[in-house]
Amino acid sequence: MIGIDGWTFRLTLVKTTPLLFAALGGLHSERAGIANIALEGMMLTSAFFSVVGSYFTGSATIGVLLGVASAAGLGFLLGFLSDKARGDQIVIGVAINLLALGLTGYLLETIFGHPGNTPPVSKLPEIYIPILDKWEYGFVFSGHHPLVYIAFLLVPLVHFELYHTPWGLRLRSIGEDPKVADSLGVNVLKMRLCATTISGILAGLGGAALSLGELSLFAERMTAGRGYLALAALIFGKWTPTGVLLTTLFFGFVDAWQEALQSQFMEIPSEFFTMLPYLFSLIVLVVFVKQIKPPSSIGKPFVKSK
Amino acid sequence: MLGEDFSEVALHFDKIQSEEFFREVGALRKLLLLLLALVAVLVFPKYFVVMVTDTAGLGDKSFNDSVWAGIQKAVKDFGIEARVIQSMEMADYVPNLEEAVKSGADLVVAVGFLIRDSVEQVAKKYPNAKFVMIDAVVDQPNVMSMVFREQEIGFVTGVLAALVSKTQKIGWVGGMFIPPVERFEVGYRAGAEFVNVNFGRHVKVLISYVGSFENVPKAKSLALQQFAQGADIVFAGGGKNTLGIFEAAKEYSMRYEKKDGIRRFAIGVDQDQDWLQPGYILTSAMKRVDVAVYSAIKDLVEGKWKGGIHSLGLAGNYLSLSPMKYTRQFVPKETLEIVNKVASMIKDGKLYVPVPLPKTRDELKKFNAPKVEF
Amino acid sequence: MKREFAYSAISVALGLLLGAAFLMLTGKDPLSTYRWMFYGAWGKPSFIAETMTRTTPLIFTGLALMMGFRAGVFNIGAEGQLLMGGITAAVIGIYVHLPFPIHPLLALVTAALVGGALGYIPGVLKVKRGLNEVVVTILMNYVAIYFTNYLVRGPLKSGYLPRTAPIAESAQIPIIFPGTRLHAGFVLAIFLAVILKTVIDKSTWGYELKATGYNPFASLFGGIKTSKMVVLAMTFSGALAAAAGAVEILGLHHRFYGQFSPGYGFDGIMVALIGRNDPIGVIFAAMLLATLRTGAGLVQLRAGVSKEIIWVIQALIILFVSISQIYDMWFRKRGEQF
Repeated sequence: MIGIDGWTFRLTLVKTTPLLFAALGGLHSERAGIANIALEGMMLTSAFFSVVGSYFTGSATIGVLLGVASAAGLGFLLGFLSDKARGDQIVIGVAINLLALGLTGYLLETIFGHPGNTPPVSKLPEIYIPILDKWEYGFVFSGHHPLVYIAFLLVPLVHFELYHTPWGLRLRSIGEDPKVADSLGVNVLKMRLCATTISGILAGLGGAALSLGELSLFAERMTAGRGYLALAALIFGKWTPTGVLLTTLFFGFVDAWQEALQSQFMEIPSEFFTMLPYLFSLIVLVVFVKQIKPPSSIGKPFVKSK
Repeated sequence: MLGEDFSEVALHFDKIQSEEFFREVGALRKLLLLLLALVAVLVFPKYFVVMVTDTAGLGDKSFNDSVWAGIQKAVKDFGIEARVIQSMEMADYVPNLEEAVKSGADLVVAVGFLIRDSVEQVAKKYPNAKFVMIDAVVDQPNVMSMVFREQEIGFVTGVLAALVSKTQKIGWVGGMFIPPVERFEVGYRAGAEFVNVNFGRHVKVLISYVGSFENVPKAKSLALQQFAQGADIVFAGGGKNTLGIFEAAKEYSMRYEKKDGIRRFAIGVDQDQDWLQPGYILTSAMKRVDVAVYSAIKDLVEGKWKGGIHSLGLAGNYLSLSPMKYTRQFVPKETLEIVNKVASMIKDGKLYVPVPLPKTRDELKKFNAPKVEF
Repeated sequence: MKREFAYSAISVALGLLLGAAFLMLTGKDPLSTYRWMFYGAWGKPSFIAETMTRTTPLIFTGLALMMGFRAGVFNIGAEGQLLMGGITAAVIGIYVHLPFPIHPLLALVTAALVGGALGYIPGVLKVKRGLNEVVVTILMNYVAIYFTNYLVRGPLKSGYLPRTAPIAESAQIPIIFPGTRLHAGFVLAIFLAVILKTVIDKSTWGYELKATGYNPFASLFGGIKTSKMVVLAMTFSGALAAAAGAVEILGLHHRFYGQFSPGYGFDGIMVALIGRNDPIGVIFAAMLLATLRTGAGLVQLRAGVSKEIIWVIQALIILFVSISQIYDMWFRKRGEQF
């Protein structure tokens, strides 16, 4: 097809990575019954603190750890407030997104002395796979930053976790019916707290992939709605790891493709192309997806019966 | 509360504050205060300048920041006082501008083309207030409009890029398709066409837009796409996006320069951005809004300020290429001479008068690059 | 309900308090910040009018989100519906020629119909196909943003800026206080809120809506057509969101600008939540957010505090609102003496 070459595929992988991380994060939380619209805020916060960590220590790895820790904190907050305080999960999510927007903007100015964006910091290294480099199209898969590989390796891992471990079974069961799980002796509250924290960690990796993987700096609002897209991909992917992989890849591919097309048809207003990934997803969703059933207990706080 | 605000009242003749104030205090105190205020003004004749940004706000690494830098310089040089109000939404523009006027500002600096209609409205309402409108034209006697002929510097940049390009393909990644950005773009494309006509080259220009000024990762991937499609120079058309495009130039060069010997470059915009990725930014097309706003404040301080439209271009160095501190070795001397000649022809009106440079895409279609002897 | 409002009030107080601590921590003076914020929003009649002007779109989107929440659906697509409503109103305002009271009314009603359709689609997809309204409307938002941006850049562009031509004077919603920007859209917003309050509290329809949101399965057994209620709620929600856009264009900006909305559709979420999904609560919540934002100008000018602080304070308030169940437990523990 027009405009498709090796780079389209390489950029598909790059574009998919943050979405995939965030969607897998959302999967943990939503499978445990906690709606997570805070993915955007978690990504943004982690993108910021990753750069802060890298700026002060000179090590991108420490940066990623700090970023992930900050997002994990937000994940913990989501779980804690949802269950302990029995808050509305959507409300908490909205609050976390707003908090992330305000805090990163405010701290950016306070820490770095000027608003808008940080100075460049040391970023994650690129990892080359020697065997692939000999192949003409090896660059599609080789030479990415480590988080790209980790994101795709996570898919089978999460699949195994979810369907082949006792933990995964319990996780799914508390999402479907926490009362039954509770009566079977599962510590529902603790598990849900773990699930949202993991969700923060994964979304945090997605944020770090943007700021320290693809780039080497933080710019205000740089996640630009990717967290919401990840949420859409999660639902679209029917809350399964493979589904999520396919939907994020689909989205990443259409986005990379429209970018390649844009520069070839310059007389067509660019907004038309930019709109395509969203329009395509909408059409695919409406035409091909028959039924989607969310985890039953999603959105409800769990109250342990006495 | 009164005590705290006193100094501000005295210094800026704060209209809102003083009105309320006077209603509250007795006549005697009123007189005393007035005297004090008068003394304060006589002793410290400080000018007060308020800048109102558009919703992009400070930190855009583009004109908002640059304007603020110009104001800061004026603060140092003339001892004026300055404040900035960053607008959070479009509905903010009118009240923020009014607030600036009412706070006693001697000059209100409005930045960005979207704020234009609001400046017109407020300038009509307060005919005694003075405004500087950057990047758009407001035809009011109390507004000094400063617009730039971005197509001129875009043209020069296009000539340079088209001559330097080894792949005969150059690119442009813009932020949003708005008038100043469009002028940069069409100037750049016209410059490439000029090179094709006069030097027998076949340079093609690739055009993409991010759709916002702050989606840095997307800007990077758009630039990578253009490099992959064979462009070796990509002009970064504004906003925070530029930072992503610089990274793309470096990343692509690191990967392929050893194999094909071609270095990929980005071109910076608005400020001298060459230092941000030394050696990978061919040059920066500088738009000196800082110089423009500084000169407006200078006029104010020297009592020469008056409204009107100022169209700024290469002449007077309001637009210029950066000194190319890190990339001189990649540009042959003859190329530089040609570029300089083109620039001085535009400055002298030789390239401008017979064949106006295009400002819009529609004009570009009708543009025929002139033959020039070099 | 009274108790619910008290919780919101407590949340606001706690949010402001924590915001103050945050300001102090970063070396700013919280007292002067808040003083200027309040003065900038309520200090003079003209400031009050400005605050009311800002309240208007927030009431509309707040009501829109409230309709959804009441039926247990989340219309995150309000932003897209608002943009489409705005552009529809602008088109009618520019290209149709009618005398005054009919012109803005027609523009408003058409915009609401378009918005209603944009709410109806995800509503139907949800009940017929089980497609989650959140994912559908998120995608629709992006399409609406780029579509309207394309229109003001291409076919509807006027002059050299990305905006439409001005709407006809006959299509403008009139200013109600001369010398300010406060237009009759504000009155309409209040009026709608009061009507909705009556309908929801007094009619069987309102009861069915509430029941659907509270427990869809029980409602189904109780003979309520829950799927019909969900579709209806989404349709009304879309119509209200589109009306927000239309009112802004017809009453305030008088043209459609690609970026006239800073995200009023998303703000609606906050407004509905702080207002406890009650129409009257929505009015107060919208006023609160408008206070923070209108005051932000003076906060920057006089207190020298950056605008991001407004986002932090908003977020803290919402965070405290989200945990108001805790206040509930706390009050109950203290006994039922009050």
